[in-house]
Amino acid sequence: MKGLIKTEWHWSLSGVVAGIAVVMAMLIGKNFAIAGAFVALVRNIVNIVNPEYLAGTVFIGEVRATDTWMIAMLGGIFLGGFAASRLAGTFQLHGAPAMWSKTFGNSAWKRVVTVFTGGILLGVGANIGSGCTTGAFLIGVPTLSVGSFVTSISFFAAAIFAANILYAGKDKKVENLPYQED
Amino acid sequence: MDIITGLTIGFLFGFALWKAGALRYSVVIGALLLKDMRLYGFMMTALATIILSSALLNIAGAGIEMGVKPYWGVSQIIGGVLFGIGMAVLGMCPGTCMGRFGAGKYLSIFGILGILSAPFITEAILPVTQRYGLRFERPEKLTVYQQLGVDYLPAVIIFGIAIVIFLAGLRVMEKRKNKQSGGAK
Repeated sequence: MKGLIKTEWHWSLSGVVAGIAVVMAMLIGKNFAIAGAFVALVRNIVNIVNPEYLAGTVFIGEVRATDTWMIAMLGGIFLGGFAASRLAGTFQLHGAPAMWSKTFGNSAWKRVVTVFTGGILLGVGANIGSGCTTGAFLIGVPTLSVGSFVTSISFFAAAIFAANILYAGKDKKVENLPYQED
Repeated sequence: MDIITGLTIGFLFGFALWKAGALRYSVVIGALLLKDMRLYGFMMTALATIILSSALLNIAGAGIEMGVKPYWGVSQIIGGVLFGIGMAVLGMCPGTCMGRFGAGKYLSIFGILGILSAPFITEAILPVTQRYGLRFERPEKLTVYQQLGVDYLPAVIIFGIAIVIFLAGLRVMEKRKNKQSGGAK
């Protein structure tokens, strides 16, 4: 039991647990789409700050009844990451990942700009591609929707291609890196 | 009630992400560089769990609604490619970005801010993609099983079993590799 709390799990166990979480959401009729949940959060923040803006939007749209659940789910993911790392004793405030710093330098600003730009790419990509790793892959693919297959194959192929370009000619050692700095 | 179930289910998923190593930069990049296969094992196990348990639950009468996401045309490939580049640049996807922030990797907040800025940019891009015919005005509800002329349930069960066979192959490969390297794990 202690091992289960302190260490990472084999993919077969963590995969089943993640799958069960999604099935639980399906059983209560909720949409476990994380990029969609971020849009729900934006919609509700705008609704407080400038509600008139929402009426003229083609994508963000008006506040929906399902938004509360989705925003709570985002909060849950944050808490799940926090609890797992605390229980394992590896929680530590840390900036750029060690592997990234070693490859691209120690500048915190460089990492901040990269992370922000990457976040925009993730968001815009999921918005116009109709889904992210959960919305398109874990939820969409089981419905055997052609669109979800197209999105999932596109992003996995692009991610593998882009990562290999980014790390071309660099040190690709990925084993045994210190958890706290990873 | 929505808040409690949302928090609980999100918590379980975030916990599993950490346990899978998906909140570690080197593990995500290792997967994309095809040097560390454990994340593919994790994602495909989750997918098989969802496919087979939802199918079995529906056979038992649970009545889970398997809505079909519509196909919007070429814009979906463009979106997928942008998302993929984002995933490689960050070493995260939206869910792991949130989870990493929870695990103390505080720079992830800028990724979250990026994701939160995105819908405003999408507002500007969507009409352009529609104008150039990259996005249908009325999307089509296309499914793989309709294209093949079969029913959903048998098709999805066969697909689920195929993933399990793939996972068994991955496990055999993993054991062989561990034996070769003489590692304990």
